[in-house]
Amino acid sequence: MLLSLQNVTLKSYNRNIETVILDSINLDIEPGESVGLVGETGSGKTMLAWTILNQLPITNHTLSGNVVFNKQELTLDTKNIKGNQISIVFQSPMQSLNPIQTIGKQFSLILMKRFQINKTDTLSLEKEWMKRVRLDDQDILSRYPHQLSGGQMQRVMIAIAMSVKPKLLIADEVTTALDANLRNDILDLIDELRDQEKTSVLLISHDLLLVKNRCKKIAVMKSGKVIECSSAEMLFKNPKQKYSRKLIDALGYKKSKDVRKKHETDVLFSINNLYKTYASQGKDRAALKNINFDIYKNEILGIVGESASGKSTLAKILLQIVPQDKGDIMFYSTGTTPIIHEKPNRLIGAVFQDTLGSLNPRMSIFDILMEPLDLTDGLGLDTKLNKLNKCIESVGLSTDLLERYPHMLSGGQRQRVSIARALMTDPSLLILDEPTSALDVQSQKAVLKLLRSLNKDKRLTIVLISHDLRIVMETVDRLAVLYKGEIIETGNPNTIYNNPQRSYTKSLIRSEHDNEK
Amino acid sequence: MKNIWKYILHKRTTTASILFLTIIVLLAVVIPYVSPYSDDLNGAVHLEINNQAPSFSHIFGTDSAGRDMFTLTIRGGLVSLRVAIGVVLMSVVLGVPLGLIAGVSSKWVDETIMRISDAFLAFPPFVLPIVIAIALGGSLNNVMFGIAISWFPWYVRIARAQAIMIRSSDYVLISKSMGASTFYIVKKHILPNSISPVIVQASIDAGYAILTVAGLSFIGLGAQPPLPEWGLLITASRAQFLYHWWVVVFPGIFILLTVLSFNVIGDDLRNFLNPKIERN
Amino acid sequence: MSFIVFLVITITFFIAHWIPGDPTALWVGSHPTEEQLEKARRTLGLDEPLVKQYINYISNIFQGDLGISLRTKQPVVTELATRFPATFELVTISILLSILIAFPLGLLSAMKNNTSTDFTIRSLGYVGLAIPVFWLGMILQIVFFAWLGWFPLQGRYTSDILLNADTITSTGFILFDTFVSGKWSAFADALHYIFLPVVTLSVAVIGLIIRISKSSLMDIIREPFFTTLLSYGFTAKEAVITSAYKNTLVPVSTIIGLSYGMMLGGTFLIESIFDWPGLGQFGVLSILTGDFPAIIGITLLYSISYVLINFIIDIFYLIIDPRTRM
Repeated sequence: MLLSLQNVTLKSYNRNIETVILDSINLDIEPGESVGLVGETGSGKTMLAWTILNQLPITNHTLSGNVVFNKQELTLDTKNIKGNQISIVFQSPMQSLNPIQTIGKQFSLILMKRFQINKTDTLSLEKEWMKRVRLDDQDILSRYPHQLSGGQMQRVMIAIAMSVKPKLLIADEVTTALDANLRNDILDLIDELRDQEKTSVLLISHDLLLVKNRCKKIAVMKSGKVIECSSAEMLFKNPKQKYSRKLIDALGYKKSKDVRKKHETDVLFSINNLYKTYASQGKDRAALKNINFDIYKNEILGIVGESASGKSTLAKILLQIVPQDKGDIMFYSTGTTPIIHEKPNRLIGAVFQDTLGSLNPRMSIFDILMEPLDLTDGLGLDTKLNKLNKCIESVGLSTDLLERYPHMLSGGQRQRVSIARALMTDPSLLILDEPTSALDVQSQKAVLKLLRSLNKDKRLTIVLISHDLRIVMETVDRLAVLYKGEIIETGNPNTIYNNPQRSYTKSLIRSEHDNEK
Repeated sequence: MKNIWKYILHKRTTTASILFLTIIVLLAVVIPYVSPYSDDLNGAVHLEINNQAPSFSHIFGTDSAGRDMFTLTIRGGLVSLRVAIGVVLMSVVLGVPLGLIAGVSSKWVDETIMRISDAFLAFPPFVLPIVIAIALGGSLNNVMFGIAISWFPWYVRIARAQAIMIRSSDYVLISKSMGASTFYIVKKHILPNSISPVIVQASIDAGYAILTVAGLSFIGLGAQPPLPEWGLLITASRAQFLYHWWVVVFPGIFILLTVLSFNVIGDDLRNFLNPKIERN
Repeated sequence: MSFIVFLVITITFFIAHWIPGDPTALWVGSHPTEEQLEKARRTLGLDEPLVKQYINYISNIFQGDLGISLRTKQPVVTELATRFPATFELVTISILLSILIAFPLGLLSAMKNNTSTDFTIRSLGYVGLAIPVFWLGMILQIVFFAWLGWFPLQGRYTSDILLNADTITSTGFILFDTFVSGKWSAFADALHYIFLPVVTLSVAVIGLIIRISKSSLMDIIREPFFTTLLSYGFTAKEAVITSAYKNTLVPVSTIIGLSYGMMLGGTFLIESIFDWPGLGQFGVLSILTGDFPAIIGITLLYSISYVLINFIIDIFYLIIDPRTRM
């Protein structure tokens, strides 16, 4: 047994209020094995990692129970554990190193501390590790963090973490900030190094799928407790806890959904030859290239894209709050003669990802909802209030939220407010950019359900942009894949899922696919 | 908003500072009616009792013209209040609108405004007020104006930074998608959310305005007699000050405590408006 | 930068032309005749249209001609040059002292946040920032000269030491010259005289630097990379010494730029209190007598050196922070 957590309880104190962060945690990790730790944000997973490392970021706390590592009980004074026997890699690789020192310099500082060698000897070690994480042909050591990509930086962090020859590597959400097609590569790398060095790995993630095929054992955390811990196989076949079952069910979409509507032939929007370039650091970067697609009336169109795929730019151009460089958008609002869509139009509503950032913190919910109508002239107060009540109702919120301010609402509620605001002008089209990414599992489901009912009952056309293939698959009638500024595939979701044409799409689906039995 | 009162009362330093400032102002208002030496405030001169050390009849002593230092010093609080409010108001009124405009306009407008405002920033602190005071003639209003001219660029910067930050936030983007004009966005979204840093800077500047005016009055460019401005009080009795410590010490202490109070309030306001979790 | 300098020069010119009072009267002296005034006006070029005066002004500046001081009748450039070393010495020593004292105190205050050490240091800083500079100077004179007699009242050196031919200084930087040539008694004497002015000038700046060093270190401690270092077994102190100190240099250099400006302003007050024969004293005398070529000269010198210092600091940023080079 390498690491054993026995009844570990962590409580914090803030102005006489006690919060239980970890509640009687019991967890064992054997030498050379990967253990998965899965839970949602706020479940305590990262705090558990800090507890193992004895580097808690809170001042007023009490810790009880035992952390036994390598047959030795760890106390506050135990030396030579961090960066020696245990190392950790974090979620945001870009910020993990000092931006004003070279990577090589920082690597050597760590090696010198670990092995008591001098600077010249560290160089050969560093080069060796760059090779092992497959970065050797790129002269990384003399560069600065901002000159590398996220994927490269994460490999650097893994190299450094493994170079100190730890017995345990803690990987905390190490792929969350990376693109889908990089995720598996990074996790494969960790598995490989684990086997080579016989290091144990604690793989922390909110994503059950990622963890499924790599870990012998998976522990599920909720509200500071480990509610279930079993082998990966057992967990998926026969989850004991209701919560675990919920997490598992949330994965994988229902392939056999009710017959997907064939899209209506009436086009609502026609996007033609869209191009958008940004100048950044002296070079021109193409954010969108050759975008051509139609949006049909009453459909739910999904656009799958990761960060830097151009999806946010596309959303902004669809809303015309940013102009395109080339191409046009035609809006068939009435009958068959289209208008050129070249400025913001109240008939297009928008909902974004950041629920807090989408609402002015100094405005009450009432004011926020009234704003769209305040911008429309010639409406009487009664009409406005009427509309307000209707919209609130249709998103399932109650009127006593109206006097409150955004920070007093939950994420799910705020997102509903954003949707209600978008509905105030009776839009023909609703564009949502990552509407559920910042929400917990339950709220996600609720919002998606709301969208489907709005589409059905009010015949609202919806464009749903997301990086999360699962969500999109479950909700949309038609799917387009956006990669590096281009739409590489469109069509029926099932078809694309079963028979992806392009390699990027394949890798996207593979991340989902081989995590299904 | 209830939170701010709770916070203020919880922090003893802020409460003390606010209390101190209020007392000073109240005393300054009341003193002409209460002091037996109130005509000293209008330039009365009593050379027979000049340069007397502090005593029961003159708590802070008398200056080189025989005036009661206590009455003069206390009344000086009103002058300082006027300085603090005047300078800050002028700087804010000049700087904030320019900054907001720079933050929401085209690159060209932005650059022009920033270049011009940077030119004013290029002068080291005392220089511009001195030159303006010389040009317009030494008086309290002129130095106040001179100081505002050299400080308004800070407010341009603050307002501009806020405008730039807020205009790319999601709720502004959504406003735009609903057809809101730039003016509407500045009025409804940017301005209300920009006030905090401006207030913090303003409270700190209030103190420094008093400090700067005192220094300028000291070299004869600021307040003119018989205004009981603290810096002027010190310089008026400068001859032989080495042996008449009271004409220097008391007004100076008042300057010190007043500026300190403003600094404390400004700092606490800043901490309140940008809460950061204090870690070990 | 050159654009800013240009704007500075222009703004100064226009402000100076608002100065009331007749500059010619000062030039000519008391009881001038109409004829003398007329002649003076022509000599000073005041009879020409404003635009022409402006063009003359600019071209003169580029030729290094700042006009003649109305008060001393010497070229302004010469006056500035003779007085420059005294002020430069004063300001430089003050900045060095301030950094030496304040930067470590600020770091200490950050590392011992919320302890009594921190509280004491912060309070000292607060008070330092609130003290009127001229008042402090006078108080120090009262206490250390009038009451204790430990330090001299005014001036830069004892006059009989000057009369002694040994101490002819070559650069005008007395401390430097006496130190380099080993004239220890003169060195000690100069130190004795510069002590009170330097202390006075430094106090406010010390407060500022303490505060910025502290807050920038505290910000850095919260940065993710600092957490990374800690997770590799570095103590907070080790992390600061090997890596994080560099990150404080950027905000601290900004403040040093500002401090320099504050000190330039402070020299007006300090030099008149301590009778220090530098630019500030020259400035105050020029102000009091309405000697506007001199006033313009000082304004330009101060402003341009301030711009220069900030420019140097900007270059420093480029060296320190590779992200600015992109």
